[in-house]
Amino acid sequence: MDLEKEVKRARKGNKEAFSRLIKNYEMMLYRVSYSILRSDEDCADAIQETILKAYGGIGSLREPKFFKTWLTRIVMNESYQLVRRKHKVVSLESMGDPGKEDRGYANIELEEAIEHLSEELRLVIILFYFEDLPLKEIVKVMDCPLGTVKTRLFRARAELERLLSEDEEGGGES
Amino acid sequence: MSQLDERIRSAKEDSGSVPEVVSNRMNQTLANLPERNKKSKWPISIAAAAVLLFIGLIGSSYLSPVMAKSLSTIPVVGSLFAKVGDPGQQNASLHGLTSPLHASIETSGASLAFEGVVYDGNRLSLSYVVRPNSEEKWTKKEISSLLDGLSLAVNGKPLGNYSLSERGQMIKSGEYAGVITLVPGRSLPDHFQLKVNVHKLGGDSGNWSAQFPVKKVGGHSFLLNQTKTEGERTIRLNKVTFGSTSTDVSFQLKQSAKFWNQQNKELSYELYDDHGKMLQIFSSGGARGSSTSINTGNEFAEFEPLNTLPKYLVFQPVLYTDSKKSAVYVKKPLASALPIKLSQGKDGDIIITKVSRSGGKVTMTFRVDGKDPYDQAGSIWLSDQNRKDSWATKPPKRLKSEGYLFQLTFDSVDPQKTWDVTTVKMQPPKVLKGLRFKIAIR
Repeated sequence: MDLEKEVKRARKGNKEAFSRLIKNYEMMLYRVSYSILRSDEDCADAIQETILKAYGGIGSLREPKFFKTWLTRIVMNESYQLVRRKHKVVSLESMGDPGKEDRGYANIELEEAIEHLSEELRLVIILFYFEDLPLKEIVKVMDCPLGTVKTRLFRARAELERLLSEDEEGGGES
Repeated sequence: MSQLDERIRSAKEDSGSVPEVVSNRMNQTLANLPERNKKSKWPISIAAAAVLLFIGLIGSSYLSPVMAKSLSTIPVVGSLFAKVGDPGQQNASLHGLTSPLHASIETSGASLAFEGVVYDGNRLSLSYVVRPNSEEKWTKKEISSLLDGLSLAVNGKPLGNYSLSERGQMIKSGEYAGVITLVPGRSLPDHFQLKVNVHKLGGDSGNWSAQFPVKKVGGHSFLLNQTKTEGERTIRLNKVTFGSTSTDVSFQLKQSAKFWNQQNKELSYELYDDHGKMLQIFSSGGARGSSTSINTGNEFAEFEPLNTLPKYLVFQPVLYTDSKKSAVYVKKPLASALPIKLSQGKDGDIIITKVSRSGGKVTMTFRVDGKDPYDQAGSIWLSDQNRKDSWATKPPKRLKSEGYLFQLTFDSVDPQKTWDVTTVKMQPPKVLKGLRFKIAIR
């Protein structure tokens, strides 16, 4: 799929092109919203709002190559908005075991380790590794300096290595 | 590639599908999308008026009593730029180069007042205040989502290529002050009418707009014609513009297609003044062609402003490489005797000279000695004995233009816990010396 052409078509009001774009990024929408909301039902709500908002606003997106960054920011905003609407304080402690459903990571230990990261670190791992966003785009999405993004990436990697090695040793704190 | 990297990459490649509950909802939403009007033949104003009547909300560009009250609480016109703008916008405010605005948009749920504007030939900056019309308390993230779907027109014509960014903060309970920065893809006229179309405000969706005159202030441009090549990269400098909010270098970058969007190597740019001071980069980007072998991009890089014209500038591209090596942390107790010196490896050092605590808030003043001072300043955080981190919610604030002295505030630091101030050893970016330019200005 030529994404830039699809964005241009969607911008002109082509519904099918817009739907193809959303389907192309459905895993990104899910991963990012899940990293904030930690509930599939809430993700469905946030993604629904994201689709409607993106559909209404795509006419104003001038640079097709930034579609993914733009969509990522919308889904993050919608997810945070949902957190507030539901007065949810999303923390590992409050949510308990998030379950073993498929989150698109296909590696249960890795999935659990990612879910144990704090929200700041989890998001940077998902955006960098799973969504292949360059650091400069992550800076835009997360609204923090490049140095902070790089440091969080370092920190997140170190935490994942620690959590995964504890797992392999069959215990340790969690 | 490290073991962890390989593991994450392979997990990604083997990724499953989204859960049924999510994909079902997604499919339903897509199947029920309304038809969007393709290019309307109606004049924009008539179409907008019809939409406004239909949704029954009021969008206006007059100053409402509510917003007049809100603006009356702002002590000095232009002060929002000083309070929430980036260092360039703060500079324009300090030198009195911003113009006051009296335009607002009101919906049933919120009011948005544009407070000031400055266009310096590089960037157009707009300051504004958003205030809910009810007791509802919004978060910063919700209000700043205002930018999604925002569109602009200059002298009645939609603006073509441009990039937008936003920054801001809650200034009092429920009230948010922000600054929108627009980098147009082409030069704007010296005088023009700017129309700002807003499609979401607080909890309301719709179509509202405000319009006001904008006048270019200052902005000296120097046309350049220097070209250099290193390996498969060529840079041709086009122009440098000295504005009151930024120094902008525009150039053409030609490079092999394989270099664009390399995830583990990112090209950035450095600019030094004639005293050897590195100017802080605000953003960079551009529009690129899409041939398969060599791609050419018309790029720009924006840096902090200079208040006097230098004799020369030095511009150079740098390459950041993500080493994937395990991080080496450097930490010292926050309660250590001052100054606290932390090594950041080959990048340099951070020297903390002052720590002040007030309740759960910690403010640190520190100097950066090193090759990448602005990134170094953003690579510092607090961690407790259980490896829980506390990150600053705002970027480091530069305290004066000479040297690299910064201040960073952490808002949620439990005074009962023992905290370490932590950083990480880093590699400076690789300078592409063959593409280094000395730009004579006068």
